[in-house]
Amino acid sequence: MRRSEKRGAFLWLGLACFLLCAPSCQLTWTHGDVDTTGGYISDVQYDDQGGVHILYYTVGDKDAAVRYATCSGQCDDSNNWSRVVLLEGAVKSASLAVGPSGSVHVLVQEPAELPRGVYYTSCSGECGRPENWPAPLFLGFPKYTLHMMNNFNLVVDDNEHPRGTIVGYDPDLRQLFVDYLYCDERCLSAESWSSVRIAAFPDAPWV
Amino acid sequence: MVDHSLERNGTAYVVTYAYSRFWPPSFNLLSRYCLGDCTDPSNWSDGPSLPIGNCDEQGLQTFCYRWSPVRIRSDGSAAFVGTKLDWGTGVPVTTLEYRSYVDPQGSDFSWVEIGQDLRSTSLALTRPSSPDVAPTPRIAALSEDGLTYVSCDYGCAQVANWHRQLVDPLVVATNDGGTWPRIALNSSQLPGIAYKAIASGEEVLRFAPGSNAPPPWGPATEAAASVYGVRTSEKAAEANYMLLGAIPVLAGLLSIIGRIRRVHRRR
Repeated sequence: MRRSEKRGAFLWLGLACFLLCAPSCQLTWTHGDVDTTGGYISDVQYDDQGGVHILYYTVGDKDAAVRYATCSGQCDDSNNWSRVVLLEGAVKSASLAVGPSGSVHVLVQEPAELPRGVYYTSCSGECGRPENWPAPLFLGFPKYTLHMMNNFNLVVDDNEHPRGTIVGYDPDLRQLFVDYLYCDERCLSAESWSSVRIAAFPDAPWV
Repeated sequence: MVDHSLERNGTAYVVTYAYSRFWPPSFNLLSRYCLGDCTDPSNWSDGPSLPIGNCDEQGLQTFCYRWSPVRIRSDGSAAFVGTKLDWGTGVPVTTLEYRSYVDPQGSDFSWVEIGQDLRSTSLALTRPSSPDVAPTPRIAALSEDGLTYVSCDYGCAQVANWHRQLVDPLVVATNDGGTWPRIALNSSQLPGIAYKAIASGEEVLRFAPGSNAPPPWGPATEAAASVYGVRTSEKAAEANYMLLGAIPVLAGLLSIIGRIRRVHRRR
């Protein structure tokens, strides 16, 4: 092997070794404070532009609320986070989804001081600004009143349509169930939402 | 029922949940999935049903298993991660389990136990640009040390192929719902974790992005290990691999520069 060939092999061997190890072995972690009120984290999502969206809720007599925080750019810098109170009052759980266009959708369950049921709101544009969030819409579904974590989940499909699953209990049928909620357009109108039952369990022992 | 989830992958959705119909409870992880128009109930089918056993004789079964949402891959396969709480010896032992299957029906189901000191997990799967490349798991979990990042790049059925880093030691370590971290990946497949920590005696909501920025080297390595929480032995091993690759690269580059200079001198 000529000297130049040896040099080339040496170089490629080193490069391969470096590249094989680099992706998994060395992540550097930094962090920034999002909210000093603490909070129970419901979800975190990135959008396609690298923005971060966090849905969380706080409890307590004075500051119980569903809250949203977002950041674009250096998200380990606390100054780059914007916070919005979406709904005041204690809640059971909440779920967040980010659509392909960067729209943000939120489903909230059972605020204590409001009609019991499910609430929905969404934002497109600058979601760190409170004025870009419409007041959450009461969808109804009062039978979804189980006291458990992760009672529902929300996603947005490729056409920007929100879809959710939710667990509930029907006291008349003594039945635990899972419903699939969906809306195709004008989703800030309660009439636009429908549901289908995808699973049902009679005689749930601990309900 | 103790948990359920919904995931989007084109027109495929999967719901998964644990459920017991009898007393004493005998838990099964059940799942339903939909391909096509999910607003039509007839398009929903049963997915995997996995017995997960009687975990507790004292009625504390609710948290025997705690599953992350199912993550669906582009080929229809799926993965999820959970912690099993075992009271068999009287001392609770949590075991982190990673489970995966190759299609929504649950064929070729496999699982691996990753560690016995991790709990409160959140899972994300990478989305490779090529369909020929398998997605790989990225997990945020709590350990006795604090917020921990766990990952695997290949051969994820082998526990030896899993790696972990301590992200932040200042994490609330109780087992209430609010302390569960949540992980997401950006478009470059780098992780970000939202979690609750304690700073100066106050609970704060934090976000930690992971990046490929080079870590401190040399005398700062031990400090970096404590700041970033990487176990020193793992850090040393990783550094050795990196140096193993970096030394010949530098040598080759210096050699090329020398050759260019010699050519210039001749002119």
